[in-house]
This record gives sequence, C-alpha cells and structure tokens, in this order.
Amino acid sequence: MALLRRSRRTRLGVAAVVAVAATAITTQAILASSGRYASEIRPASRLEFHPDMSSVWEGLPNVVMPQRPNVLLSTGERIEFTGAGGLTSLEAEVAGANLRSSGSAGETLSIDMPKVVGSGPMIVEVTQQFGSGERVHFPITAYAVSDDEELERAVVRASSAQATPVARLSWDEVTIIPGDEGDIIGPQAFVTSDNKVFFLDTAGARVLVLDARTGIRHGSIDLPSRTFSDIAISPDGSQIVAIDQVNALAFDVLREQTLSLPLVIKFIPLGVDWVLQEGSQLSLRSPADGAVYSFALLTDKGATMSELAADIDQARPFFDEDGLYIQTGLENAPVEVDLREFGIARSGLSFLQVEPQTEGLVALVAAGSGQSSLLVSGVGRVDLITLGDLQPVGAMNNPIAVSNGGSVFLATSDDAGIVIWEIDLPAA
Amino acid sequence: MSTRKVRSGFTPTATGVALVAGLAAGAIPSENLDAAPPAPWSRSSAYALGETGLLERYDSNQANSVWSDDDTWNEIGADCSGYVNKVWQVDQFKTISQNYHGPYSTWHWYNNQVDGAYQLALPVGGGAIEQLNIDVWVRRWTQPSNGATGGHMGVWEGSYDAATSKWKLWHAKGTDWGILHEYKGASYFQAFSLDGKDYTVSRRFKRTNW
Repeated sequence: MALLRRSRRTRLGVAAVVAVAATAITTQAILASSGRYASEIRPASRLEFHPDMSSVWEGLPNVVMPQRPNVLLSTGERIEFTGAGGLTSLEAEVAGANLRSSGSAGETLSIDMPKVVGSGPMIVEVTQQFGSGERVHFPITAYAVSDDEELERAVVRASSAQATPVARLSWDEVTIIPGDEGDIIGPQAFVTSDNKVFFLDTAGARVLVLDARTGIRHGSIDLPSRTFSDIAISPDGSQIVAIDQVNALAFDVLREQTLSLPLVIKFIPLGVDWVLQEGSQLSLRSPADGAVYSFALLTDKGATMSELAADIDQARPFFDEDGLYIQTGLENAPVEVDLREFGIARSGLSFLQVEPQTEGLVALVAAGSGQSSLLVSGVGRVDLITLGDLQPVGAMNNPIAVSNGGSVFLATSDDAGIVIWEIDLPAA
Repeated sequence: MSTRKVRSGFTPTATGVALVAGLAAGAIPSENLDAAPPAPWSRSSAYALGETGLLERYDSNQANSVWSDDDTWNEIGADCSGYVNKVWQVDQFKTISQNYHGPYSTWHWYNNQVDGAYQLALPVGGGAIEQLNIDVWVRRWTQPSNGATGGHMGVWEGSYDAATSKWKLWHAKGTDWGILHEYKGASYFQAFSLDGKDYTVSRRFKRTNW
C-alpha cells in the first residue's frame, strides 16, 4: 500500500569539495527500540550561516536531505563555528563507515554506500572548510532507505493502542463545572516531566502534581485565577508555564511566579496550543495554518512581545483537498499520509491537539464516528495508533502530552475519574 | 504505487499571521450598535453585533444578556443563550446595552421550542467545507443519578476550516471567562460522558429569514 510519500529525492549538491564516509545504519541507532522517539535529535537552527547546503544529494541508498540549512536536524553536540570566510571545501562523514565520495563545486554528487544495510535515520558529520582556514563541524540527520517502495511500505504503520495507566484522578480530585447556560469547564491540559505529571485543574485554579510511575499525588500548586486554559513545558523540562489568556497571565509553575503577558493575547482565540521553546520563548501553534508563531519572551520581570515570526521548522499537520499531510522535522520533505487507507474517512476528521517534541510530531485525530486515533510521527516514520476504548477526555483542550524522553501520554475518563495512560509506541 | 507530490516551501498564511497579530477579532465596528437594530436582521449585522461582545468579561451571567464593547469587567453580562438570542435578535430587537435575555434557553433551542424561521440541520459538520456563518449550535447534558440537566450554546464565526479541521466559535463561555472566541475540533460537538453526566451531540440551527 502506498501510505507515505516523500517529496524529496536523494540528492546533495555542494558548492565545494565534499568527502563522505558512511557507517552502518540501523534504525535502532537513532530511534530507541523501546518505542520512545529519540529526544536527542532536534532542529539545529543555528546552521543558518551555511546556505550552500540548500542543495540535493543523489545516491544509493536514498537519503532524504533537508533543503534548507536552517532546518537541518542535528544531535547538537558538535556544532562549531570559528569565523567568517569564503567556503572552499566541505566534508561530510557518516560516523563509522569507510565510504567516501567527492565532488566539486556545481556538480551533482553521487554517493554509493554499499555497506549500508537496512533503513532508518542516520547522522552525518559535516565539516565545512572556509578560505580563511576556519572549519565548521556539525552533525545532521537524514533518513536512509534502500528504495522508494521500502519507504512507502515500511515507514507508515497502523496498530491498536497498548497503554499502561500511570496516574488516576477521581472526580472528587478535579474540578468540573458542567455548564448550565455556559460551557463545561474542566481540566484543560497536562504536561509530563521527570516522571511527574503536571495536571491543569483549570476550574480549581491549581496544578495537580502526580508521580507518573506510582500515580501518587505529590500535591498541588495554586494558580492566581480560574481561567488558565493551557500548560506548556520547555524542551529541557526546566520550565513549565500555565497560560491564562483571559487575564493575560503566565504562571511559572516550578517557580510559582506570575508574569503579565502582552494584552494582545486577549484577542487570540482560545484553543490554540501554547508552546514553550528554548530560551523561555512562548509561542503558539495557530490552528489557521498549523505553524508555530513566536509570541513573547518570558523573563523574571515579565514578558516582552516577540517579533512576529512563524517557525516553519516545526513539525506540523495540514490537510488539503484529498488527504492529511504531515510535515516532519525534515523541511521540505513532508510525509504524506492518506488516512483513507487506514479505513478512516476524511469526513469529520479533526486534530484535537498537536504536540511537537524535538523533531517529532504527535497529532490526535478524531474520526466522524467518534473513534480517535493517535498519529505519531518522527524522523522517517509515522505510526497511526487506533485508540479504541481509550477515548480522550471530551472537555479537555489538550488531552495528550509528550515527555522530553519521547513518551506519549493520553488522558481518558471513566465512571471513576480521569486516567492518564502512557501509550506504548511501536518499536522502531 | 503512489504518485508523489512535491510541495513548495511553507508560507505562513495571512490568517495565521492575523491571528497572532490580534487582528482576527476585537475590531469595533464603526456603526452605532447601541442604536435600535434594523429590521429585518441581516447576517452581517448579526456578525457585527456578536463581535462586539468578544473580550467582554463579567462575574454573573445567569439569565442576562447585556454587554458593552469597552473590554471592562462588569457585574452583569450574558449567559450563552442570552448572547445567542441577541446576536440573532430573537425574540425582539434589542441593543447590546439593553439587558434583555429573551424567552429561550438552551432547552428551548435544543427542543425546537424557538419560534421563527429556523431550520434544524443535523449533524454538526465535518468533512466538506461548511458555511456556518453565525449559525447556532446547542448541546444539552443530563445527570442520570439525580436528574440534573444543563446546556450550552453559541454561534460559529465562519466556515469550517477544511485546512485544519477546526471551527471557530463565539460563545458566552461562563462566569470568569465572559464572551470569547475559541477554536474547537469535531469532538467538541460530539457526545461524551464526564463526571456522571451525559453530553449530547450538538444540534445546529440555520436561520432562513436573514
């Protein structure tokens, strides 16, 4: 079945001499076999100084390369930049393999990597030589397959959810305003960090803290109002903020500090997903186009309005007239998933929530029948997981969360209360 | 074998930019909305009047329908049906500053007890692009254990967005929240149970005498 399509081919052209060495590539080397999506891969936006990487690479096996330098994926461990100067050479090394190829400026470089077995993401170590003698080293991540058919057959998989309950909240422990001539107001969102669940009990004006291994409740943190609609966590888990658009407030949960946000936040409709990016950058994902927009920079003294900018590097879902598409972290290499091939009708489908984590994407989709599925995308893979009886809490804006370790959590409800599950992701 | 699609680079949409820039809502119409509403009521007039309520906050909302356009906190505001009744101007033409709720609650709407030229359209959309401009949705809930009931309703601002499968709605969300605009996915309008209460599928109403 043709479930996934790729828009870019295996080409890399560079403006200078290139040498490449490759090593054995295994999926497990990058994507943990435990079913968790690797957290060490993240966008390396610092590579903007390297425009000549916006080219193509051709060879066997196919390698999907990002087309723009500022969306290269990186382990982020060895990025160096020591000075300016004209580019004279570029070396790329795939760690471990003794494979080399070279080209010159303006040529299309063809690379044969016969020792590469299997498919999966790989890390390429790139060294850039400038005329002034400075050298820049940085790793990038690409996805390798042996042929197109393998990509289409192997990467998109459907399965039924297997899940483990990690925490439970009885109805007495959360606050529900059922709505009588008004909207139902219940818990709106949660995040996970360091084996803890931070659960936004909106109407109770507090954040409940639970142990994600034992389910034991550690306590709660009071909020300054009853209108917090979302909670977000920084990539490293060091900062968690709850957002109150009605009163233009952010509350730093770990520091118990209230910050005033730009008043323009009142004009932004509820229901957008708030994202806390590196450097205390508060951003939002617009339902209008799926992109992440910078909103405000949080500091100890308050928040300053950010310059309006869309982060196009972020994974995002989008529809068009005939299907659901997902852009993974590989810029300009979106994977395309046709949910009809999973037996899910386009009609009535909607994203409840998108939860980007590192380069990955988690999108919760609801079919018209009321059945929900979890769509999980990482580098070079997409898993569609039918949730079956695990239906998300109907009144929550954001019923899923992704930990920094790549684990996926889902909040459901039953007669006794709310249950938080860890979804067992298919092994890579 | 699938066909491949090559997509160009992503360009943020004007809608997305407008959303973040705060331009998507909150503009105060130039017309005098405190003057007597014209008859017959038009969809565009309803849109303009409904928009004035956005950002309106209040502490008490039961059985009221009054608001200003000053973004200040008031003691009396609108409940959800009061807001809808006034946006649609049923059963009487009233200004936003006249505290007139009208005779219809969510129960009346849900059970087709509202007089007028209205058309019940079920179910609430999904799939194809739907023109939902200022159409009404309403949902009820019951609690089997004690017979308690309640409901909520609002209006859609515009069309169902096929690009993201989201609806943007306007509603008097409740005490503390006020009148808001909010994005909701399909599941919001579907049936679910929560805390011993059964929430019905939302019903959609079209107005036929704009």
